[in-house]
Amino acid sequence: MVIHISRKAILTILLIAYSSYQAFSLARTSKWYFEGHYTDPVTIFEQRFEPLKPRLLKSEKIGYWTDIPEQQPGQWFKEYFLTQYSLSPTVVDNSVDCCSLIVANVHDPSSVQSLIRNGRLSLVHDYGNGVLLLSRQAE
Amino acid sequence: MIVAFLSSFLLSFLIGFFAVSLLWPRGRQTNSDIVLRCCLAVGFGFGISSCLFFCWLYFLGSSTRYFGRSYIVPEVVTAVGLGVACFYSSRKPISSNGQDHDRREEYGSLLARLLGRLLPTVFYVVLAGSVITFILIALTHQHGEWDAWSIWNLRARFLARGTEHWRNAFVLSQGLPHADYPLLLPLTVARGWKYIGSEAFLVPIAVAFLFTFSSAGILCSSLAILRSKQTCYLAGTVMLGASSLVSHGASQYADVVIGFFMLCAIVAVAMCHQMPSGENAGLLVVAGLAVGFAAWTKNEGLLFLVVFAGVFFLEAAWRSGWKACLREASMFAIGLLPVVAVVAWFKLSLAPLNYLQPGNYSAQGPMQYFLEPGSVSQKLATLFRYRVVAKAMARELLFSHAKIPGVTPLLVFYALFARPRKSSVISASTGAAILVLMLVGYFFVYITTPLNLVHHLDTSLARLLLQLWPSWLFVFFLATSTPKPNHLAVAPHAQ
Repeated sequence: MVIHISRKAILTILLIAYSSYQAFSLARTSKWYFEGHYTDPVTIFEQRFEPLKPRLLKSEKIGYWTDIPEQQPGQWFKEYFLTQYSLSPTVVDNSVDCCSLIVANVHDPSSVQSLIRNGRLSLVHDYGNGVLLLSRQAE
Repeated sequence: MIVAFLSSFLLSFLIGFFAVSLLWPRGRQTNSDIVLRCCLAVGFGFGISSCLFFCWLYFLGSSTRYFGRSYIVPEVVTAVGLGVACFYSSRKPISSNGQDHDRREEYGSLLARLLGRLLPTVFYVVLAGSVITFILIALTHQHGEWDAWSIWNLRARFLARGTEHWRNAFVLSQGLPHADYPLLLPLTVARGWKYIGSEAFLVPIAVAFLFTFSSAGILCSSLAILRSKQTCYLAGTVMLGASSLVSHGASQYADVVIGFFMLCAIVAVAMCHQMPSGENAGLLVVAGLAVGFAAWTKNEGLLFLVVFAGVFFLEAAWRSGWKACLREASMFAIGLLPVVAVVAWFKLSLAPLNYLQPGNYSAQGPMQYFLEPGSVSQKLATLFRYRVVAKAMARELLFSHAKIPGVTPLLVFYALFARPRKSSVISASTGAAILVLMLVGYFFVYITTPLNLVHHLDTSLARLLLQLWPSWLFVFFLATSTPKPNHLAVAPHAQ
């Protein structure tokens, strides 16, 4: 007995096999995520800003300052957008001159000292984890 | 909370189901028809309820302390109105029993029958695996991936949290990217949060889940109606398995949502072609609604609107003459115009400039690293850009963002050995023309982009092609024949 199978039937079987293989590869990756090898960076970032939220009014617009260099635009934008996401519906403007209050997202706490020292800003509150609320000093 | 969660989804589903049932050809009651209507109802329900919620927000949303939960009223009125209309419409005598294309392909030999049983088994296993995968990814990425949290869920937060300040979501600020993007998805999520009274991460995940698997449901049920059960299972397996649909869906990207509505529109037109011209009016309204909702989901939907309307009218005029074309166009417009009116209202009253428009970005700060100098005409005249975009598109189509060739080469070989189906030529060529023109449109968006070309391609091309993927599969399997019994046979005596 010889099994005669057309090329199209073989391709049908190949399509099924390929699709099943891809589906279960993805399932394996997602299982890896779920087993605790991955922590959602958005959730972690939001937790940093949680203590600041009650201080902000919904209608408010606040300024933003970070010590991430502009030459790292990917990281810079990621953290800026995450700050906006965490603090919405307050509008976070990428400027220190726009508003009376400025949120600082810093990785090196000493970096903000230069801003304060040159007299442009004063510290309102340090919420820890690199989150500070600054205010613009009157001209 | 669970009751509020379920009632918000049930109400929008009922609105969608009654609307679709009212427009659906009378007398079609096969299982595949019911599945198709339910899947369409999911998206159309979210579409209609998001438009209602937008109107409520625009007129009363700033005074929530006085109007509280009054956004429920227009939805309940709409659901009851459509339900009553549906009930009375179903009591009228059926003028036509509709042509039932739902059939099972018979395979003669033992091995062929095995393949016939293998296809549904594999499909259901892949479907179950995809559901589990979706849930695992969604639970570990509760806010979704980059675009989900930086655009869609961010906007939903403004709409849900902002009360009188919800319009702040559309101010020009670098921290609010793509503020001109339409609102179907953010409004759907914000509406769910309003019903529940909290910002449960379950809402955007459930919305993404329903759109992802309803897309698969529409592909499978429409092919079961227009082709066969075997084609339905094969297409469903390929759609769920061999693409990034599930992972992008679980990442809460709007590309899956717009892909859903593009598929709805192309399926509705294909079903129109199978019916006598006097009985397809409802399906044309469905197509119009779907195109409108695509435009209400993402800006790419506006391109889809122009392309779809152009191809649809030319094809209708060529097929049935200008008189019939005008009749079909007016039915299409009945579905399209109300949604487009909402989109236009949003664009004219709230939305700022689109990021692709020249001069919208200042080359200051870190943004300067993502911009590419040059005017649109200079970019159109640069041959190098054409080569880069064509190469990236070809690579993405061939490899699907992986290191080994993706499913496209297999589908190409499959098409080479499959005979085209004459009965589907018009539907398939209309769908293919729409999709090819969409690809051309995307191609020129990349050519003229103000952003760094390579960066723009790297971060968006896979998602743009994914929008067209469900529709491509529908057109592909509609146009090609499935294996015939004699393609797969056991020969008892052979030399």
